[in-house]
Amino acid sequence: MLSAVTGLGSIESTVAKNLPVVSIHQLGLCLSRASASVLNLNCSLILLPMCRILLAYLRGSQKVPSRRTRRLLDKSRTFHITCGVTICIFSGVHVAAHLVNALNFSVNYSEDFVELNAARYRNEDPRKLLFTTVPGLTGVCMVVVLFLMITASTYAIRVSNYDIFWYTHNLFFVFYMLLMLHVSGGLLKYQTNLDTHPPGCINLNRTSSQNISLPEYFSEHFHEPFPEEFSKPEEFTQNTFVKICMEEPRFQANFPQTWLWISGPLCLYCAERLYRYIRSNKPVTIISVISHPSDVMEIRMVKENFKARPGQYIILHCPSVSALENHPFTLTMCPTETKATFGVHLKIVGDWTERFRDILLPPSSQDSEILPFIQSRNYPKLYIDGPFGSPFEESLNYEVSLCVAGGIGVTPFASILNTLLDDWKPYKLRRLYFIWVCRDIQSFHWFADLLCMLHNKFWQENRPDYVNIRLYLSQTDGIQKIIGEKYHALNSRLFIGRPRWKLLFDEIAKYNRGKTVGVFCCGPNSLSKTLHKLSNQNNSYGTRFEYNKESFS
Amino acid sequence: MGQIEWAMWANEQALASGLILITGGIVATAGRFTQWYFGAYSIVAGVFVCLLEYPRGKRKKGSTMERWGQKYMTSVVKLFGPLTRNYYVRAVLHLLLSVPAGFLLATILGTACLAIASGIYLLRQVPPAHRGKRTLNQTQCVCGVKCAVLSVCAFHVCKWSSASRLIDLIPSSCQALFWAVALLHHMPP
Repeated sequence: MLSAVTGLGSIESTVAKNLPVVSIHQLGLCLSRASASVLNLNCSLILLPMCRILLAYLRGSQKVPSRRTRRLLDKSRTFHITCGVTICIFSGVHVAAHLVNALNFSVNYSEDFVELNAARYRNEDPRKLLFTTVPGLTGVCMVVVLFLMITASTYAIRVSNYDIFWYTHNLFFVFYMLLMLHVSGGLLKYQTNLDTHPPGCINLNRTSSQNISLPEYFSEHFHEPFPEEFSKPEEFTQNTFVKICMEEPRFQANFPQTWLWISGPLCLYCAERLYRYIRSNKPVTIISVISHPSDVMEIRMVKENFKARPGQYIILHCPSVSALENHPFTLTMCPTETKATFGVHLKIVGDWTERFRDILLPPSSQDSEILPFIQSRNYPKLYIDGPFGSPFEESLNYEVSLCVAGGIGVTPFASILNTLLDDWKPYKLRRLYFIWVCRDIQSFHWFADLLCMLHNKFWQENRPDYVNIRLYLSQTDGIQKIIGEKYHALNSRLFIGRPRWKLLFDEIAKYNRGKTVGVFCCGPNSLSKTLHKLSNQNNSYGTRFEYNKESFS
Repeated sequence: MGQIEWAMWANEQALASGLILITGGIVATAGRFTQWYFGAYSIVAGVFVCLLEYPRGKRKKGSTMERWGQKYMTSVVKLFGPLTRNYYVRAVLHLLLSVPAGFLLATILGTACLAIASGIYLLRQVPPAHRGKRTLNQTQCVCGVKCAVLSVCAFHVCKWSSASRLIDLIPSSCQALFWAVALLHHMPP
């Protein structure tokens, strides 16, 4: 990325320096052209990581067999942010260079080549140039839009007020429209009749005052040895014959390169949005809504032609709750060939989920038992968009996987466990270490049944070491706790206190010597950082830990 | 929409505008544009705005991420008491600071950005209940419009003029101050 940026910048700068007419511009032109070409590249690349359906397709298709390439897809958000920061920096350079250019255009108005001027007369106020020309006005508007987008995209705003970030970021479409207009101004021109009016030719009809540079030119030719700045001496000798201009120079505006750069990704992105809109237009049918302890709600639904892989997530949109907001949730149960039902678990945090829960489970019925079929007639319309890929899909492609969940972060692994319950043989996975850390003992009830069923299944099939479950209760008030009487298998695997990660990693390394273990974590940032650090450390058993990172917000 | 904390965004915008003002000022002073002293003003105004806006304000709900080293500036900013605590004052201050920078090409973007930040601070002061019903307090609306019109008028008055006409700024500035006082008079206790 950095090398592409540097390369483009230097190419454009060199091209600009070799332009024959340097009376109007000097450094300003080089800088603005160089930064413009870098901006071209970044504005086209920045859209690509946001084509999520395309990325999900690439992740799941056989066309990307290498795990390393798939891991690159995990970094798509980071790539998008890098492009954004680059656009910000180079826009600053571009604007500063053009401000200097505007001044130069007005002060160094060229009477020889009137068509090349952007100013209409000498010493035209540069502010007029800025606000009354198409490139100037669109440029100012683009800077304002970029300013709004960038100030709302900082980490602090995304974490605290995601709405501001989301609504302002949708201004990108305005930015692109302005960009297309910005380059259509036709300011940069090239000469169409180079053969009849080569650079440096003498116009016999011109007055002597405009030929001031000619005597110096002649003296350089005939009296001095080759100056150092000419890099091609053989071309120089060809030019010693003085040419006479046959006709006036004619200029034509350059074709806007930017259109070529951004049209591809923009069309791709628009096509994807259209596809997502059409696909998500049909609402889902909610089968049941189940209330779980610790403020968690499960929704089971069906939709025609909906296919998803374990670990993927969907975006829910409920117009009765909010017309504009939509929120992502990981699938906890994927549709299979035999069963078309899929489900999500939602933790009630924030106003959207609270309102959603109040609509689906009216407060009067939240504590009592209400049969689902009475409710089904009153369920609001729910639309889903997706499914979109995530790094957790990769856990079935490692021979040994370590999955660590913190609280509600267990949801992506729940879909993996559901898939293994269905059929484990088609996948490469042969051993799964599942560690779940919760603050409250009631939270384990969300998937206690699933874990017990899975444990029993592998015992029956004589593969007891396939899934190794460890549950940790991080906060305790000293009273001995158990999950429930019927969950024997889980109670014996319940530990009080936080896990000791170093010991766990050593144990896993010892029992899986020389293998590559995929590490997946879905939980608080501090947990993620600890595991990432431990995964990168060497161990004496030759086991390699590959950390797969998911990024939220 | 009613639960969005706009002040945080306005704070980020004002900080970024300060940096833009400084950059524009450096370009203007180094390039020795005509009327380059506006560039020098812009650098000073930019530094002042950056220092004022560096401490991130506390959120109403939830934890606030502090900027690195902000506690030193917080103690200085707190010294001025209600002048810096009140967002109306900040909004008007930013608007007034942005106007002189608008006369020079290099710093005009800083003006636009700081004016937007000032507008967001003003918007934030509209009570959430009213915003939810999509109505605005009429007096605040009128005052806001007056301030905006005033800054545009001041800009046009001195738009293509040279230094000698700077004296024309004085009546416009007085009007601005007068309306600012009128605006403050309407703020809730």
